[in-house]
Amino acid sequence: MTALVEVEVRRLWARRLTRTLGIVLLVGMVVAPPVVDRAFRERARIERDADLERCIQAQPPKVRDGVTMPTIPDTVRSPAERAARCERAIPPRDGTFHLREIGEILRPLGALLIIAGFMVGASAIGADWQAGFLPTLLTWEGRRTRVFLAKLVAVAGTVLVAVAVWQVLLTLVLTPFAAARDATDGTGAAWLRETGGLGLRVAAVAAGATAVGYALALVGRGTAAALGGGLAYVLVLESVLSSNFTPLRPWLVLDNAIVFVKGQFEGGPGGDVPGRTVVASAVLLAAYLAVLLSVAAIVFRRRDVT
Amino acid sequence: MAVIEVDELRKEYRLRRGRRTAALDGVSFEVPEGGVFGFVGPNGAGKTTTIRCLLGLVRPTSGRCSVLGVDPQVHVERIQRRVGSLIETQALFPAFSGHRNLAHLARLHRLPLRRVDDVLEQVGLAERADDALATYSLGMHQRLGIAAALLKEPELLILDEPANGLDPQGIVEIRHLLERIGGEGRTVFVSSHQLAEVQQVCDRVAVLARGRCVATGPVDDVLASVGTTGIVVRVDDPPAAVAVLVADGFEAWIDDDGAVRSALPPGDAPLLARALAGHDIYPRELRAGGASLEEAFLELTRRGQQP
Repeated sequence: MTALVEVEVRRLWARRLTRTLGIVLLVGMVVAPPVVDRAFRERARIERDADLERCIQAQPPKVRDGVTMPTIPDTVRSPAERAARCERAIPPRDGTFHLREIGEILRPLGALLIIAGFMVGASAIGADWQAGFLPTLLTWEGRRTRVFLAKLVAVAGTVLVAVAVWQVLLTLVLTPFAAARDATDGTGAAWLRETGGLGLRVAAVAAGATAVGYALALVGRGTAAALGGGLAYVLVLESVLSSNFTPLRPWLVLDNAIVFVKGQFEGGPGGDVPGRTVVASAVLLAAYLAVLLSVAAIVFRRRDVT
Repeated sequence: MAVIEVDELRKEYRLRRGRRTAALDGVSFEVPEGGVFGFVGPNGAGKTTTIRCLLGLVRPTSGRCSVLGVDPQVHVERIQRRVGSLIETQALFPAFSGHRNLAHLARLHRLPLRRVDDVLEQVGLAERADDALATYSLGMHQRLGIAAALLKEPELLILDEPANGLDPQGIVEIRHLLERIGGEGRTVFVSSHQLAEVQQVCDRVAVLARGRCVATGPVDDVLASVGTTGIVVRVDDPPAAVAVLVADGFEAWIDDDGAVRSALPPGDAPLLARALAGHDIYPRELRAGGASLEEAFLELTRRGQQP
């Protein structure tokens, strides 16, 4: 089993898709400081413009970082006068990237990493079917449950470790960048715990998505079947169900994955999905994954390999 | 002792609308220990399906088979170390070199890596061992597949069309390799369309047609069971001769060396001569067909395909 996992990991890293994604992640890490700097400054500018517009239009002010934005009396009627007074009243936003805000980078990037994990999982077994490698492998290790588990451990484990390590490295790359701007405040033990938890949850969901892609490609005997089926289910069917049948939301994969990755609504009634805590979402996602993998393993054990 | 026993093996595949088709329809034969055993049959006869059943890749609908005394459907792991196989073209990892591909397979069974060099040498791939598989020709892929099958130093070698894609030199080399392995007391079970090769290298054969085994035994016995078959006619205008014979209700065709052939027994040669003469076609040569395995195969599969 160990030898099989080792061989599968080596083969995975030799795949073109894996190498390409590795290069993309490496490049992404290198260019992260300037891109993050620009993105945060741009966000600050957009937020201030929005606050200014709300002030000029006499709309209720937004709360930013716990502070309600100032406004001016409705009695000021002249648009020019309102613009001038709002311009003076609304303070400039600080566009500096603070290390404590790393979560705002990891969350959206996490979605991309999860999709990438799904693709890697589907491709790892789909390409083996298409190239006809599985019959060859099964004449060397005929115990199909072992083959199933070894390949799963190799691909999902690799994605889990790679995603977790990459997030750590990204944080390390951005740390001196933030330190140089004196923007490392609020990064104590609580922040470390919260950020570490977020990174681990992203890595776990990416590994889960990898396992889903793997299971679908194993049953569908091809990468395209898994990618088409998986993405159509999540992006089309679940979107329709989520928006038209609200009571189903606590049972949908995407909604639960969002709750789990965000990890900030535990026990709270006003979360993304009413009635779903982070723990409940994790349990549900794990149960779905276990059922899918069991079905895939049974199908793989019983079906003819031609 | 038989190293392979196949008993009334039947494999059905489901088609659309609930219909079923039988790829194997009660195949039975035995492969004795040692030597080279040929497994021949036309495309679609069920050779590859039989081999996949023997390797535990395909589950038979009914019947049973055993390899080295073990049912591969139940305990395939018990024979895997002892059986080397090549199923059609061996699919390996194109980005890796031939050596690296075999090294990965060797790791699965914790085989010493020097075995990789040995088998690459045996199949004549030592010089290209470090090149990526993507740069290999079909023949080189086939050699690498055979090298992979040899890696475990198996007691039994199961090869499905090992000569596919090989040039004449490669075919001769593989023939010598199989002869040598068979001569060492190991057993080689080889399916092939290269009937001349099978006749040269195999001690025994099984002939498959439409999912049934129509003959099995020593090559000479199989040839004897068919007898001297067919008639060879050499004429100046073979297509015209075939047209005349077919129009008169005879089965006739032009073979690879341009002669007109008929499946009629040699005793019916005067009928052919008369039919041709009736159309002013006079044979330069008219003789009984030689009893090659190819002819025996054609006759046996023709019989096997009759409903």
